[in-house]
Amino acid sequence: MKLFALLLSLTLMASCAHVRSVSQTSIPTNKSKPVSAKVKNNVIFLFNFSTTYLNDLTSQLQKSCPDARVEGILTKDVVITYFPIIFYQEEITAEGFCVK
Amino acid sequence: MILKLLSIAFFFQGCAYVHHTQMGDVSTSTKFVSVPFEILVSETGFNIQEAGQIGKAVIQDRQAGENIAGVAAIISLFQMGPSTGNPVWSGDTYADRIFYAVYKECPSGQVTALQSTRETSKYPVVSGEIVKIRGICLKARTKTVGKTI
Repeated sequence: MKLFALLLSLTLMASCAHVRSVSQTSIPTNKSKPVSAKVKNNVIFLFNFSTTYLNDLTSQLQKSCPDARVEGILTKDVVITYFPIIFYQEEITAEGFCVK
Repeated sequence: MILKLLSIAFFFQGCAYVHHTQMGDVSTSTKFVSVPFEILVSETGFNIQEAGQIGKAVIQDRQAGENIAGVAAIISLFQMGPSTGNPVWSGDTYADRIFYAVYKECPSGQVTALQSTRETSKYPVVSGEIVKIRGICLKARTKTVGKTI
């Protein structure tokens, strides 16, 4: 019984991350100025009613590279589960290169 | 108590869920005016008749045809996953005409910062299995001429 409780606790407490999607645009030759943007969303007890947190990605990239172009953007969508069902975090990162 | 909470949590888990998101190249040139736009397409909420009207207008206008080809080329860079969200009755064709919708929002064809998101969500207009396209339409700056009264 103790072993079962221990295994159950380990399963419930185990944190893990999985990549939901990855995408890459054409990479420029000039890679001297890398830029990145990141947004996070915490989900408790699977309650999540909005996906508007994604909208900040564009504005973050624009601010980090004014009057130029951001190319070669690698978008990575990762879900990190800290406590299954109880709490997980969605993390989306966009990394690219600022080209004048 | 915990069981009740978990039951409620499972009931609401489909309220908003992101399956896939992707960013396109971002241009921040000050030579153009940036006009943001957002398009929502669901398996039930897309207006085919409207898409048909846009398509008809495009066929009649050669320049428009070239512009829409540019928009289609940009969107073709995006690849959605083969299986996301719940199954839909209308098959997998509900997102096929997205580029017409993008063209309607940006007839110049100069689209930047295109962000495509495949999600299960609910908006005031559409709900369910949704493809959301956000982007910025670049429009040429026009010289403002002062009015004399």
